[in-house]
Parts: sequence; structure tokens; C-alpha cells
Amino acid sequence: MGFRARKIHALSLLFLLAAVLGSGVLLTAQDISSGSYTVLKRYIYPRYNGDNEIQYLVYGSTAVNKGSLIYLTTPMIDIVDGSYTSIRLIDTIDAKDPYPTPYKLGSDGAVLRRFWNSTHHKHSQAWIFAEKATFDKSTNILTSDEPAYFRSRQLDADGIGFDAFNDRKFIHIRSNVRVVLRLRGKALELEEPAPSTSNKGVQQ
Amino acid sequence: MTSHFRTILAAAGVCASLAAFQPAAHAQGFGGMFSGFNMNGVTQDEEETSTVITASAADIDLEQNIITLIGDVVVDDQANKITCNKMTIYLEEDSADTLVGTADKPAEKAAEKKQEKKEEKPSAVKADGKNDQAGAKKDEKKDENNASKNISKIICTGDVVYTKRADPNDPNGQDQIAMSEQADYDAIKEVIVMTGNPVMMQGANKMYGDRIEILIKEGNRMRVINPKVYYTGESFLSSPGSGR
Repeated sequence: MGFRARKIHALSLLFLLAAVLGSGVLLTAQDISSGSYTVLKRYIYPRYNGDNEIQYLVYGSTAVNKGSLIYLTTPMIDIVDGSYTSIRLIDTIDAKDPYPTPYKLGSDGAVLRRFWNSTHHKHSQAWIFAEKATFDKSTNILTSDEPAYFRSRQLDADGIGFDAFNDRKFIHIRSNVRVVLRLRGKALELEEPAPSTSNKGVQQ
Repeated sequence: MTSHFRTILAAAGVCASLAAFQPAAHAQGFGGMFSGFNMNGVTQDEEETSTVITASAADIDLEQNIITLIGDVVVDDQANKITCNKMTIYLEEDSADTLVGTADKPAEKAAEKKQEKKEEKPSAVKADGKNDQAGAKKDEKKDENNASKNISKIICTGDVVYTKRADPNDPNGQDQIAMSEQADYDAIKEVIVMTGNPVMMQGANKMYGDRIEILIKEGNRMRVINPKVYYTGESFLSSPGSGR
């Protein structure tokens, strides 16, 4: 198979995956390999609800599509607050930006402000981080057996394993839950606005 | 005469018990346990002593703004501890209603807010494909979403045990323990109300009532509403002629 033929084959696989994902739009795919499954690297996967509003964005280093399941490596789920009808309204993490990492449970105010004042997180209701997860396209449920890190302005939670029912923004953390609450989450945004250029969302 | 003397002794014991339930000066407070840290002007030390709540599992409902911790819930810090079977945390939009304490149903508030946002949706749809307009809309959306949510109340259910630890500097200090079926923490009023067969204990002293209130603004002062029965220790209970 010549180079041109391989390229065409790879492109066709990309379109096939995009079609399978339904209403999702694949905005970034830096690498595609052929075979019995499709691999995406450094992807962004926005998911919309019935009102055409973005429910969440999934970022990650690798996504492997096998049938109705997508196996995600280092997935980051950005649960969007508000009624964004276009991804252009959101400051997404671009290819040149480093991925954010979850700050430690009980981190001090400076770390929290740096995270939540980042332009990439202003629109966010919460973030979920995990090492691995599996997305079932047929049920729209994301599951993981790995350690999970939930971060929001009001509370942070660590645990082992989770099920995210994305259609209704419902997350079940399965075990070993540790939570830190904040009664005055609003202060996170009001105190010390973070510089917009030096803050790419990377924490410790 | 002996009976009168015993009655006086009992009354003295009750008074001593009530005095003992006054807050210890060092207590951080139940609200402090939940708050973790306040970003408005607290010291670095306070921030670093965030209280971690542990539980077997958790359900986080971001649409309804309700977080539920399930199974063996423990909140523990140096001064206080609470355990229960289930803890439900309610969030609500930070608004004028919140400040005056009239918002009691965060889920309904969230639904109303969602409806308001839907009504604004057509303008955002028009922004598609137009970079200039999209940028302007982006800023508007940021402002809109800056109206953050705050914890409005926390409800603990099932074998609720609240412990206020004795002052370690007081050699005669004893832990104060309150138990009930449910405890409601109102973040706006800063009060915890324990209901469902509540009992308050310190050492051998017990006090029952309709409910127990823990007033966080007053240094976690505990008070029993409509006290019904109280005991003042083993010696009184076992003494002859006490009628028990």
C-alpha cells in the first residue's frame, strides 16, 4: 500500500469515527493509526445535550475506539457550566497548552485560585481526572476503576473508581472517598485574579 | 430531709452539667470543620488544616446541585468530630436570597436558573461562526458563570454522633457528645439542629430533649430545646430512695 493509499485509509477512519460518535465533534486529532480500531491522540470531545448546549468536554492523551466503547488514557472531563451552544465560546486547551493536573486535596488558596482563575477553567463547573476510563457511546456513561480526582469550586473529592452519567451531570465515586468542602467558593474567583498568559492550567 | 438533700444535690449536678456544656475556648467549631478554609483573609496555617471528610462512596449531582456522601461518613479535626451514615450537601447560586436566608430549595433554584439561561440561548446560537461576536459572547458568558454556587446546607442522617473534644489543656475536661438520627447544618444561619431522639452527654451526664441546637456563631454552644429527662451520674442513679 502506497503512502497516498495509507493516507486516504487513515482519513476515512477518522471520518468513520466522527460519524460513530454521533453528535460529538472531534476538533483535534494529531495522529491516527489504522488497524482493527482507531486511535486518537490529544483529542477534544465535546458532548452536547438535547438543547444543543455543551454538557462537557473530554480531553486526553489517547482514545482508542473499539465498537461502542472508547478507551481513554489520562482523560480529563471538563463539565461545563452555563448554556454554551458553541465550543468557540469556550477557551479550550489547545494543542500547544499543557494539560492541567489535579491539585492536591486541601491545597492552599493560591493553588486553588491559580487553577480556577485560569482562562481554561472559567467556564467550568467541575473537572474530573483519572488515569484511565472507558466511555460507552451507547449509554453515554464514562466509567473507571482507577483513582479519580473530582475538582470544583465548592468541594474537591478523591476516590477510587467512578461512573459519570454525563447526560445528567451525575458522578458516582465508588469507594475510598475523601472530600474537602469550601463554604465560600465565590471567594476563589474574587481574590487575586491570575495572570492570563503565565497560567496555562498546570498545577504542581 | 435526706430526700430534699438529694434533690438539691441533683439540681447542683444538673447545673454543673449545663455549665460543662458551654463551649471550650479552643474549639474550632462545627462550621470550621465543614468550611475547610475561608479564602477571605485566613492565614496560611488555617488553609493548610483543611478538614477532610471520608466516606465509602459519593454521588455528585451537578444538575441538582446535591452531593451525597454515603457510608461511614467521618468529619474529623482536632477539636470536633462527626460521624453519620449519610451526608447530603446542598449547593445554591450565590444571590441576594442567599444572604437573607430565604432560599431553601436549591434544586428548584437551579431549575429556575436553567430556564433563565435557556431563554437567553438564541443570541448565543447566532454567535456561531462569527468570531467577533463569539468573542464578545464569550466574555458575557464568563461574567454570567462567575455567579458561583455556595454550600447552603448539609444534612447528616443515620446514627449521627457529634463529638466536641475536651480542651487538652484542661485536666478535668471531658468530651461532649451529642447523638441523634439527623443533623441539619444551615450554612446561612450557622446553626446545627439535631433531631430524632437527640441526647447530649458528657461523662455520666445525659440530657434528652426535642432537639439539640449547636450555635456556631457562639463558639459551638450547645443547647437542648425542651429538655425532658436528665441524669446526673451513676452515684445519683444508684443511690437508694432516688425513685429509680
